[in-house]
Amino acid sequence: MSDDARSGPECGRYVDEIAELALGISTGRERAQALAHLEACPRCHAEMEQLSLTADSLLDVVPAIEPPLGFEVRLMGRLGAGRATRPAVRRRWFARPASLALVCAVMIVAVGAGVGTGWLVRGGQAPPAVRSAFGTEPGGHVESASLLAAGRRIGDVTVYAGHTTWLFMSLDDGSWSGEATCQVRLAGGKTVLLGAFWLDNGYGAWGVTLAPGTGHIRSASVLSGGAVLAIAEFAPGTAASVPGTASGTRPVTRAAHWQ
Amino acid sequence: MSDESLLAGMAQGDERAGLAFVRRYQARVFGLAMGMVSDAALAEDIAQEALLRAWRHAPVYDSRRGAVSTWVLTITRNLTIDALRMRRAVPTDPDDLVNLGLASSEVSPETAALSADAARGLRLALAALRAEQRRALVLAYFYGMTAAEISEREAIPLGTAKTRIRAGLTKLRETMTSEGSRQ
Repeated sequence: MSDDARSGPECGRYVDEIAELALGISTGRERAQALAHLEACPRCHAEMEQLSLTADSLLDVVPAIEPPLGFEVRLMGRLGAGRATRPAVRRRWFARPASLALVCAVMIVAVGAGVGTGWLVRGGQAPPAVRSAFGTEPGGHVESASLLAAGRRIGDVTVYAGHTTWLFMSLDDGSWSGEATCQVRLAGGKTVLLGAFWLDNGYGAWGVTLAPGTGHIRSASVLSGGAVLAIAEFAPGTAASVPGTASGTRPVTRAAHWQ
Repeated sequence: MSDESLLAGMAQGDERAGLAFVRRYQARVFGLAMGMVSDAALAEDIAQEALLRAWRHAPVYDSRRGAVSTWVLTITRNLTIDALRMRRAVPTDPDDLVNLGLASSEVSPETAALSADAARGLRLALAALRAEQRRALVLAYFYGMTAAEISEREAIPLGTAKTRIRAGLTKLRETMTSEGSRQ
């Protein structure tokens, strides 16, 4: 391009950036400068478009592979579910303490937790509204920790330990959809898979009753395909403790949306 | 029925058109995701999300911006890149992705020139690239890596990474143009 009579003397400075623009990987000031040049240089603009077509043609050479059995059925199911439950505007309710407290309260009702001996918030990580929701009741305790992905908070995990003990997690971040699993790591290092739930565009909420004697939960992870999406670490010394004797876990809800 | 007609039907809420669209593209969408992540469960999630997005966004598809196949496969590629970054998962090694069929040296360039299969010609064009250029191109396009990220991953200077990316893409374009003019 730069050897063309119509090319300006500065075209040679942008040969790398034009290729990177075509591949969609150009960033920052270099991208802005290259785009400004393209606006003024039809020759380079045409070059970039040709390279973009070349780059996009790479998509056509990846071999097709028939998806697993049931793919179509699952897809149609998700389409129907999305139509039925997708909110018009994504609600970031996990970030709203009042809503989280409400959900926690619903969880208590849902699992039929005994509150005769009351509640006690221990540790400093429970959101204020959760502490206020449970703090007036002596007996049990609540621990909460933020779910972090690459250092960024994308949700919360809350453990209530009382007559009935449950773990509740909520996420609202990103665009990821699919089945995720919840795994906890106990104080002794043992990991326990608690169950699976569905994320829809990064949005999901899930709870499970914990067996008595599960032990001290040091961290809770959200995984998919064996990879850790996010992890919540309970502060040392305030690990969620589940009293009693282990006898398994019981899912409370697989709902992706709390209406 | 053309892709555009199916999208128009989907935009009108015609589920039969949507189902036909899914059946037409599911293998290519799943194949792309699978090629990039080498994880069937993750690839299925990505493929389903890509097709759902295509369905939901059918009303805003603009044919002036490219073919339907490019549109839906670009959605798939972007979702896969997002998934890999979000999970900090290890993508398929670019050489393995190439070996899936991106580049083929099984057929001579002469044979490819006689083939009407453009994709086959493109595979051969990829195979004709220097290995380091092909890797840089795959890392950039399929994994969305910037020149700086490729520089770090490949342990090469930034300028070298930029040169490999540009040289790989321009040589690919030249080879395709040359092959096209010979056919």
